[in-house]
Amino acid sequence: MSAQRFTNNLPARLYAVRIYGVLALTLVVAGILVPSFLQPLNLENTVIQASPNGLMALGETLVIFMGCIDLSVGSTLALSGLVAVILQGPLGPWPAVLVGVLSGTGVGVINGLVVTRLGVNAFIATLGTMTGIAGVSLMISGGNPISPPNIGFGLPMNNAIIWWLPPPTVAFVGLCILLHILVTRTRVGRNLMSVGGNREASRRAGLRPNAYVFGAYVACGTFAGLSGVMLALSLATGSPIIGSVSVLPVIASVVVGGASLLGGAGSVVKTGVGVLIIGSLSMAMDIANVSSWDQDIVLGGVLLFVVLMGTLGQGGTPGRLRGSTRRERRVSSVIGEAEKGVRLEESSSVAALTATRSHQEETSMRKEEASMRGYKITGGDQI
Amino acid sequence: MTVSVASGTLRARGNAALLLLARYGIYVALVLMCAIGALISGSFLTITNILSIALSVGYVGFVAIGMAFVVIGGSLIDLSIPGVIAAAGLIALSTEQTVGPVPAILIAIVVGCFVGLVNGTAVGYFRANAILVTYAAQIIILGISQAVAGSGNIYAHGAVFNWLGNATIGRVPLVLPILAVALLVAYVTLHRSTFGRQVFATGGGYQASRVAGIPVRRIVMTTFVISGALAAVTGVLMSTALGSAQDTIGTGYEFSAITAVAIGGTSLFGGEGTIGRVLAGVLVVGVLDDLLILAGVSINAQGLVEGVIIIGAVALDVALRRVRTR
Repeated sequence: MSAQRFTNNLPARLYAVRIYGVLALTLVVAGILVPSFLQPLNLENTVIQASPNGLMALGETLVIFMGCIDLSVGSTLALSGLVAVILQGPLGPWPAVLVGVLSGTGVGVINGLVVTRLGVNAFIATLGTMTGIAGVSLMISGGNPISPPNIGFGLPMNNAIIWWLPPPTVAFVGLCILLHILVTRTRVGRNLMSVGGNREASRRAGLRPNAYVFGAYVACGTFAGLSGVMLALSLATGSPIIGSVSVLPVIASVVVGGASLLGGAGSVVKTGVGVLIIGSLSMAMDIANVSSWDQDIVLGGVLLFVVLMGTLGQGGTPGRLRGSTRRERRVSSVIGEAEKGVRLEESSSVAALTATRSHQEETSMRKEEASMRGYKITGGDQI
Repeated sequence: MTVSVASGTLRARGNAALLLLARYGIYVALVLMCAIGALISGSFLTITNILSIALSVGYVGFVAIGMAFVVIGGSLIDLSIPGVIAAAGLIALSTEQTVGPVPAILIAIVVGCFVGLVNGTAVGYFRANAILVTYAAQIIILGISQAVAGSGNIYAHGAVFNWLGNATIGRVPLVLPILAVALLVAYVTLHRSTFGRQVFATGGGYQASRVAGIPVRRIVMTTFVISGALAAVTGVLMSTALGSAQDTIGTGYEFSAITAVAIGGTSLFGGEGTIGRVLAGVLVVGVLDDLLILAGVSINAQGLVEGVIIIGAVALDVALRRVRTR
């Protein structure tokens, strides 16, 4: 019986773990095109070099789970690294590290407040903080890279502490596992996903959606801060412009990892795999001496491909209008009686509301229907 | 009874005032900023300074018009603009010697339209996320431009391009009359045509518009084509004025444009906005930058100021919207 059920669901099950296939495919293709890429040392370096972006991608995943986006991670990376380096003299190394990470948390708090309290669209809000924080970094550094007074303090960041893994990589892998457990095995994680999947329904089920959105931004800022401090220490340099190219690989990693930009669907571990895929691509291209602009073309192409595939998977195929499948029509008719629809969602349990494709469709349908009826579902959820 | 009626009218009057503020606040802000400028610096109201402001915002103006179509149509943003600007400049300047100036410009604009077509098809027909699609497009086009052009610049050689780059009418650079024409055409298209009404309808209520028989997917696609075409025009004008084309000339223009559009009170939810307010938004950003320079604010601090202003402008828009719908 269970075996039969397994085979019945086999295509779906394989589809659910396709990301590992993509990683294997990436490694094989990269290994064929760039034979030296598959040497153990290069693979180790791939993971190590991907770690700073990986840490940021973990935080970004939480934000994208909420249906929002955070463009400011790169600026935060630069700011926190600078803070940790600049304050090393006056405060001593360890307090400087703490303040550096907390500066990232601070950016997350600002993002969270602007999005939840002021109701500013997440994209615009973090665009503003991205520009603003980059300005702050330029101001406190005078536009120049800064070396810490105690260069030796940060250099152990490059040494292996567990197996061949240096601290940033340990942090990336460890936090990836911890966050995955948090999201999949705890009540907070379940609530987080349900808020991301359907904010209004979660609110009516007694959750406070804004608290989760705020928390996701704070976590994202903190992760970027941690990443920035570790990177600055390992490089023994705080640079105001170091994060300016990070946004693309970070968001690409999350999206390649399968997190839905509508919120409520995805997996932290798969984001980790996405980080490895993007990292492998970069590493293989680096080894093959591919110019940085050609690398950009490849990364952009991958991002475009994944976004389009994701959209096709969600039923946005050309020639088939939204609302033309049976489920969509049912949803539509439920919404047709607006109040009834709300009551219906109210009565379903939060657990049942976690993050499925249908709920995303429902959310977006509800939003569209709502705007058609002349009222807005407020909140910075319009990404 | 009478009390409730009175409070009702009071509220209505308050809402009307807010509505006026939302509609015309940007113009008030512009006038105020000019007054401040005239007060803090004697050189603000000189013709040289005004022309320099006009020139610095001129290029953003074209891009902002295109961005306004995209935003009003409900697609939030077109991030491919820097790529299109750079590509158009490179294409126009590198093909001019072989095909002549006018075809070169046309090729550049066609390429801009094509990029818009690809973006628009992905967003309009495939319902893909506009931010990511146009961002990927930006990266890809910039990458191709850089790969084709190498790290060097391409210089303008032909007489026509040199003339176009330096032409003035009196002391007014030719760019500004061209922008004026573009604004006029955009105004008629957006506010006086069926297409314009359909753009507003699509952005205001996608599903309702679709049900009402508006070709929503084509409308969304067309807004991106318009944005791509205007970005290409900007790229051609910028590179002729500079006398050379490089891959970085468009950097930051997508943010300047979205800032101007948002400050002009165009709703980022779509379905609202006017060309006049977009122009005012562009001018406010230009005057602000000028004021910051005149006031001696360091160039490093300008990012901070701009970031705060864009968030403030959008927060204000959201707050006004909440009051109005209450």
